[in-house]
Amino acid sequence: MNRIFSNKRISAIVCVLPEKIVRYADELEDYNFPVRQSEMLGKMMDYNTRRQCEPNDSVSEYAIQGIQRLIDQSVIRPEEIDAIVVASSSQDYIMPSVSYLLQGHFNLREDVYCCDIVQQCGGYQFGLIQSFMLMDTFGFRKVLLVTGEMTSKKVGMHDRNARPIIGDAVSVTVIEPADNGAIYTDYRNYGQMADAIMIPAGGLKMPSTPETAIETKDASGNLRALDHFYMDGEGVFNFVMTHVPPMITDVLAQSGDSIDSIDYFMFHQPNKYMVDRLADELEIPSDKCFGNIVGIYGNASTATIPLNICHNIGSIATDKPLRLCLSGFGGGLTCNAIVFTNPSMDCCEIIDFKRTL
Amino acid sequence: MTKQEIIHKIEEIVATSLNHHDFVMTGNTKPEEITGWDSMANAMILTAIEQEFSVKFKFSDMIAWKTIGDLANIVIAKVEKL
Repeated sequence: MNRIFSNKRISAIVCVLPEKIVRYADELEDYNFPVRQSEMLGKMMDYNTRRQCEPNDSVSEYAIQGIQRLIDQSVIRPEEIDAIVVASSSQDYIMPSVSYLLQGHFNLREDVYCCDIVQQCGGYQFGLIQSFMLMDTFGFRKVLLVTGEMTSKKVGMHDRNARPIIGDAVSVTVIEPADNGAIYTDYRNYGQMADAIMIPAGGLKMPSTPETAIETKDASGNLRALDHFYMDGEGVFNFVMTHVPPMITDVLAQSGDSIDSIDYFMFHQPNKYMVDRLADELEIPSDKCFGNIVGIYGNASTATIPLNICHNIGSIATDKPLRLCLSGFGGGLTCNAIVFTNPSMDCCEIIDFKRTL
Repeated sequence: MTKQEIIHKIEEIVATSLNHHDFVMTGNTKPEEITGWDSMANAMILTAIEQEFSVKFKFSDMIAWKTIGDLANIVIAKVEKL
């Protein structure tokens, strides 16, 4: 589905990370595979470190510190915020929504539009599209998009397919009007493959019980429980390699771009292997597409693209306009892309979550 | 390098990647017949083969083979283009 928006920019991003750094090398004995094989896998996949939240941490607490940072730096004023859009699968509570918690914490106006959308790896782009629609429909001039996950709480400690890649992070993005021309978007959904990435138990359909917490061994020898995050690695890889390249090719054709005319391709990063393969398939030069986020911070799903932007091009994005192609893919299954020129940003940074005693 | 030599090299890579050599590899061998050759192992093995022969697989190559003989043919075709 193609939609063209216009004249909006990402003016600021702050990513908030847990201080705790965990290392793949320290957990090799936890997996039901020979240590040497796990070491080889880690080397090939670039498993190194990742950020991990504490058991009682929440997305709203991290978002509050991100928003406060933007206020302290005079990037935004609370009274000018028109909407809060939260795109995440790590809700603090089943109810109320995180957006209301943030509106309440900062005593924002009663008419601030609050909206949570449950999203996974494609969530950053869907959050941007939701923000664009609100700006076009209601004339909003300042939208806060909060994305982020604490999926490490839902990953089995013996699951070598998922645990080494999952990290936690929350991002706050400010979207506002600009004179930057057309914004080309495309999204394609494949709910027929919904069970390829899922957490089977813990929702209302299959509540967590002592039985759903029991780990079982799959055909490859990997251990996981129904309470845990699950990803069909081969199925998702085939999905991404089949559906993402033609979608990006189509949106570039629509926007009149080529690989050369885009400054940076900021992709979601499930793992380095998949990003590298995707870049190879599209023949994107390695200095325009980065695969380093999972090996440093872990894959924080909806927050991975803002982390990618802040870590890899933050200093450039605050210095000059950039022609960007953002693309997310994963849980749904879904894939999406946005091509636009983003004017110089006011703020683009990564901070650690400060724990108050 | 002959097809048989490439298959032998693939056999070494598979044994190293899977940390065992409890298999007999011929041109007709399929990955699912070898213990431990799952999707993660497949990624490791194909990457190691790329490095060994200084070639790069496209996605179409990665899903085009069923047997080790097929895989060896793809490697041969790529090596000949170098």
